[in-house]
Amino acid sequence: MAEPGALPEPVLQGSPSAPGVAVGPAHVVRSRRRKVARRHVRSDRRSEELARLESAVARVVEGLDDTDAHLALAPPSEATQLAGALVTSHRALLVDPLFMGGVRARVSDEGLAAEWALEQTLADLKTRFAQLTRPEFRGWFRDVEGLASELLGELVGQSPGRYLECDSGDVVIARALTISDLITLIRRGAAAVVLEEGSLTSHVAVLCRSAGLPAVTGVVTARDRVHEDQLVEVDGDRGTARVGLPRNRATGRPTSGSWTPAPEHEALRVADGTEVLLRANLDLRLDADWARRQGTTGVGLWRTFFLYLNRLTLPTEDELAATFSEVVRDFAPAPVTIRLVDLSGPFDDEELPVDLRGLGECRGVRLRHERPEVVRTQVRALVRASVHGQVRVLVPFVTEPEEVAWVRAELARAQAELGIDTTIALGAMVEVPALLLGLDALAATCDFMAIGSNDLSALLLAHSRDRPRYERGPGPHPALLAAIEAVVAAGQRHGVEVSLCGELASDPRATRALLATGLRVLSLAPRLAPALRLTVADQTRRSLAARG
Amino acid sequence: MSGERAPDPGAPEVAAAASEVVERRVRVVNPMGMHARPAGRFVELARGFDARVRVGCRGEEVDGRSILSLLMLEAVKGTELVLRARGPEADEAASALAALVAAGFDERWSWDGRGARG
Repeated sequence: MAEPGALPEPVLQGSPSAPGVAVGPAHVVRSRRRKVARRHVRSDRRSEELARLESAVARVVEGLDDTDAHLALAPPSEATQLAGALVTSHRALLVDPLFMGGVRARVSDEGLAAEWALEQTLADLKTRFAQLTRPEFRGWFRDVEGLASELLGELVGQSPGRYLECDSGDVVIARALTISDLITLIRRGAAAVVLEEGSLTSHVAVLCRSAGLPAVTGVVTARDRVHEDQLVEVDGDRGTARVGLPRNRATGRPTSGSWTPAPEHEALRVADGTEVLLRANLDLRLDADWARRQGTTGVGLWRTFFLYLNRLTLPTEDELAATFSEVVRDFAPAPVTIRLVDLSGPFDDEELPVDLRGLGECRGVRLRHERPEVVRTQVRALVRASVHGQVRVLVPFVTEPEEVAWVRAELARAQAELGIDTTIALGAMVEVPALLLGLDALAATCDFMAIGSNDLSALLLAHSRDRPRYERGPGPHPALLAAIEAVVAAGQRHGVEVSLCGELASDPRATRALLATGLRVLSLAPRLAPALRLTVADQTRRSLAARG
Repeated sequence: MSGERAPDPGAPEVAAAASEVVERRVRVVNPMGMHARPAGRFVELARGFDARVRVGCRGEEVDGRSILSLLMLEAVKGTELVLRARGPEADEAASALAALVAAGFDERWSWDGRGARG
């Protein structure tokens, strides 16, 4: 985002390893190198030393168990699958005859202290791996080193959790990270990572990409060039980290004091004085306070599809009501926009409950034709959750306004049956281009409209979501912008809020064009919100400056 | 993939059932080869059977329960592996492991971390 006249902030260049832009205070992870005591163990104390080693191994296994438990609770995604597979690899390493067998033999046969035995075994393996010809196999030694380092930490009584004191929203600066480190960081809500080592194909980079965490690797001496708590903007697409952004660009506050996106964020305004509202996208359960601190208000899109994945039976009404209620309570009084189940996205049929198999192409509200009871169950659960806060119901893949009316009738019926008289806003996803030819009819049936830019763009421009795009350069296509403008205008005519959720919402290259359509509500992953606030604030400042 | 059973020439004949070696030949098909995650899956599966599994590749043979040994085989896509299992569950182990390799180790995600279906 460097533009003429930009302030002379140091820009660190590395390799782009995971896309996305994030801004946050730096957390610099200092060297983990520990002095290894090179001591021998008397032969009568060797079984004791082995027991010490085993209990350290057991603690590392516990850490892996924790990670597994966490992954089991999180809605399944590529990131969780990948992390799960990596945990499996680490478990295998902890029982590997070459690795742990070597360490044990050095303790019991040679009488080395466990730490020293570990160090020597690692040195041996390093030599053997260095002889491999293919970098993708050779490079895995980093994982071995990472795990050994964790084990060493346990042996000397320094568990990894302690040095990774990362707060949510932090940009983590480190020499290298192990997979378990990274999983811990993701759990703690890190915003981005900058590493001195690593490459595009390292496991850490792969996991960052799956988890949607922007990452830049290969930034030599990064830890010497960034101070703790300095504001850093990481651009994972360009492989840059801008260090020491003046804090007032983010918050409008004095440059002293620590940068904490606060709940009382100042309203974000464009040059015409109108406010831009950022809402949170939700897949996994999110910490509502954290989402607020990132500068989002309420939930603009909760994809409930994940509640249906990787289970044999359908979730019951009680189950859904409990899950919805929790989130609605967390975010109250801000609205939580819950999208009815949409069978879309990467999944295999066997990951679906038996009752939904074979319906992979039955997108969104069309499910009412195949499984009306599934939609009705969800509607009833939503009505039950609505007593805990502000529920907004979003109807996915709408083609006819009548589909929205059908859901409204179902909501009314559920409210009557349950004796719950709450106000529930009802909205339509605008992603099927046919809607663009009848926007007034649609807006008349809705309380709000949410543009799903991923599907709308794919269907409008006839590209496939999973194949390369061949249309003109970067930035939104003019036809897509015209479509968005038309929806916004229809919203204004009918007094209906229009928001946009999709990748476009958080793409800084699209922000100016999006705001020019009149769009003022964007829904995005909260960790991307601070960067977007910067972009918007920058643009506003420049427009005002240009006017004099 | 052949299912023939061959006696292990290098082992003394103790009990016929236990010393019988089940051999399967299978080719690595996933694009990234038998790297860390596939090897981890292989070891996890191999350890679930009451059988000893050796994995041969380009004249080398290593312990199928050692992820490091498997990685050091550098089995890229197209490499032929010879799985040799011995023990009470040799047959089951060899079949399951061969199936895992042949299925590309069930790698559902692509290497660049983007979903197969975007």
